[in-house]
Amino acid sequence: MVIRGGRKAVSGTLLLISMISFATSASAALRNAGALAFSPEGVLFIGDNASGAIYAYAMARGTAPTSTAAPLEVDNIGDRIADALGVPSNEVAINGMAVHPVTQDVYLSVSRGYGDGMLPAVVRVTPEGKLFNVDLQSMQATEFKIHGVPSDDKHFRNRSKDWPVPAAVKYDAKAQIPVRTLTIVDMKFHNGELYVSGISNEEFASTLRRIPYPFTEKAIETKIRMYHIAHTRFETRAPIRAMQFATIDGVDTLIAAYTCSPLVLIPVASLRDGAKVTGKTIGDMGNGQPVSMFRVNVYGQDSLFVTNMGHGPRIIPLAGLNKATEYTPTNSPKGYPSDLSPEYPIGPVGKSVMFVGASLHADAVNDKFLVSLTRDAESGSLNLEALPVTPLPMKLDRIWSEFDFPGGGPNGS
Amino acid sequence: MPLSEWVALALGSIGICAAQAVPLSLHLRGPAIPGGPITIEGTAPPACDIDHHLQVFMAAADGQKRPAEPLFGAVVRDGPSLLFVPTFPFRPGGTYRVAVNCVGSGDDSSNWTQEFTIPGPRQVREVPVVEIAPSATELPANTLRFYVSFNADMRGRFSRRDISLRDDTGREQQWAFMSFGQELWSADGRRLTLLVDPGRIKRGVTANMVQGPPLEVGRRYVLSVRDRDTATQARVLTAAGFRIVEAERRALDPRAWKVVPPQEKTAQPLQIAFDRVMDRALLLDSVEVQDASGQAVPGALTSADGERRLQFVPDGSWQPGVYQIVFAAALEDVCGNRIGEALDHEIGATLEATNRRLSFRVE
Repeated sequence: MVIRGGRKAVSGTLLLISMISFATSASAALRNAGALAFSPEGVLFIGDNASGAIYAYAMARGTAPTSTAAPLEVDNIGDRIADALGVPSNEVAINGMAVHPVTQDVYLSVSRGYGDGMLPAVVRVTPEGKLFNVDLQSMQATEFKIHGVPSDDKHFRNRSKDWPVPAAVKYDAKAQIPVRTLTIVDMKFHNGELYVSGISNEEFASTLRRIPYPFTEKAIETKIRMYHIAHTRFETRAPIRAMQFATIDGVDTLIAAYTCSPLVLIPVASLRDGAKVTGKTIGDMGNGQPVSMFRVNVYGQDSLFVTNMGHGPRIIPLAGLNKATEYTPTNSPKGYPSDLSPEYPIGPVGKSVMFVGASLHADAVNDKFLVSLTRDAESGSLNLEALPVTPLPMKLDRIWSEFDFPGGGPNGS
Repeated sequence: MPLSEWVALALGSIGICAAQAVPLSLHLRGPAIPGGPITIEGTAPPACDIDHHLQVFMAAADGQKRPAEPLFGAVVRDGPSLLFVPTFPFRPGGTYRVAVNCVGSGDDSSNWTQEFTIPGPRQVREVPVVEIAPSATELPANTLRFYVSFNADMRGRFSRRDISLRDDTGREQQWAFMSFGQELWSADGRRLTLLVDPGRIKRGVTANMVQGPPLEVGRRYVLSVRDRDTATQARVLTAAGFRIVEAERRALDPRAWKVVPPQEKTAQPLQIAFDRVMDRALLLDSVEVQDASGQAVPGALTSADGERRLQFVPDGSWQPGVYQIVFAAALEDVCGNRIGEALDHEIGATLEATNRRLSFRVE
């Protein structure tokens, strides 16, 4: 916002005060910017586990980019965001990411600082790699308060006795984390409603909330149970980590990915208020935690691109999910199958593809490219990078092969 | 020529005839209110549209080679001055750099930059001196307060988050200290008070019955203070270890204390030995030595031996005679017990009237 000289000069202090007070009460209530999602019209949804609410910002729809900019590549984006927010690099945490469906700007939700002084922020990165602050305070926002948010004193189980590494103090720290930090895990907009996966304060914790937009007081809440192949049991607490929608077997279906890592199909029609639904487990992608899941087109095949904290990404053709075998206790492998088991990965879960670095968040940008917030393994730098979906979402600058030698290139070059 | 005039010219008209070479000469005024904008004033060549070329950066950290991203903020014109209003507040003690880059103005002095530091606790490059009280190696399970004392005003630079209390398995005791949404700093900003949640200490109060006392008898704990302003991982500035013994729920009684008088015509310290660990801040504030006529003897108080002893050194030398040590009613031990009044007493227990004076003779 720039005020040009030549107009009526305004006292600087008065203007500052007016800038500070110009905020809708809903914007002011945002305490922590977490998961992000867009509607096809460009409404931005921000999940806030601190206030237990979702905030919707109706922004201008915007226009598709016209420039032929090179694929997005912003190195050290964490440092650059820290500079722009005026804090040291170690005081910035990037919590979520979503790509605007029209402008292809990448939106990143950020925590600036920590403790009592922590402030939420959303930063927009244009296809040219320029950073802008999303001025939430000056936008109209509507709020949806989540019901059944776990209270602050509910924590996770201490797993220090479950596994030998790392040292127990780290499991102790993990166990101190309040369960409410998983109230909102993933959000996706589908057919006029915002779908929110996460947990609630009940024993049967895994909850899928369908919230019509524009927000009213109402939401449909469904409890989701699924058979976890690797854990050889039905589970009701672990939340859906990532979800997408597609037509499977002729019906509108929610495709859900869970940690360690079942792929579960849930017909949208079964998501009725107060219902307890058991999803159809059709596969397991391997041990690890899914992070992002989005639709891509791979040589004409409509597919899912799924990233994972413990694995490289998988590309899963949607056609393979039709008429998929359902895995239940009777036909699943016994004895805690793992990545080493002959059956794994199990079901029509596509293929693992080459990816250099660890993707913390990823999303589709356009038909040809995806964007990933990637932690580079060697340097540790956090980079925002566009990668081609096909032939492979890879980079070659840190990989050494025959092609790097003179004479070893294509056609002997 | 004031900025307002040449800006009006530059923006309002086309084909400005820059007959006079106006130099780029700017200066900066820091924020007048905490978190407020910085102000830039001065002159600039007509072709230099400084409204659009003014940026503020974090001052480069040592060894940082990459170009810094400019701070999010708005450039606001206020008459002849320009304000930069940061979107997120400037950090107290932080150093920044404002720059105006007049691209393409063809002028030698077409760039201007100036560093500025926001007032507040200084960005301490040397290690701040930190002390933790109580310093006793054994503390009662119902200890109420810890103090972290610095050698300078550290408000804004340290907070409870920099202080960790861990038991002997390394487990962090995260809810041991009460949170008020603000820190409990002394008036000079040098001492931070941490209050152990008394609901977890007082017998029969809900939190104690559900969660258990934060300090368990027989266990050892470490209270440590970290410096998070260092570029690498936070380093521990100081740590105090202690073992927990049975709770202290008796009222203070000066008759249980021993006084070791000094010799006349010396400046030896008067020594008072307590029967328990005392609250250091209150100890140093609540004791006065008076001569026979009731006049306060000027001198200095220091606590010793893990706040189990108090020493008073007079400014002059001791004259022979009878003296009195007067204890203010506010004096407490580390568990909040006062003279004649235990912190944790049965409802309806009457307060004893206990003398708050001890006398001694110098000869």
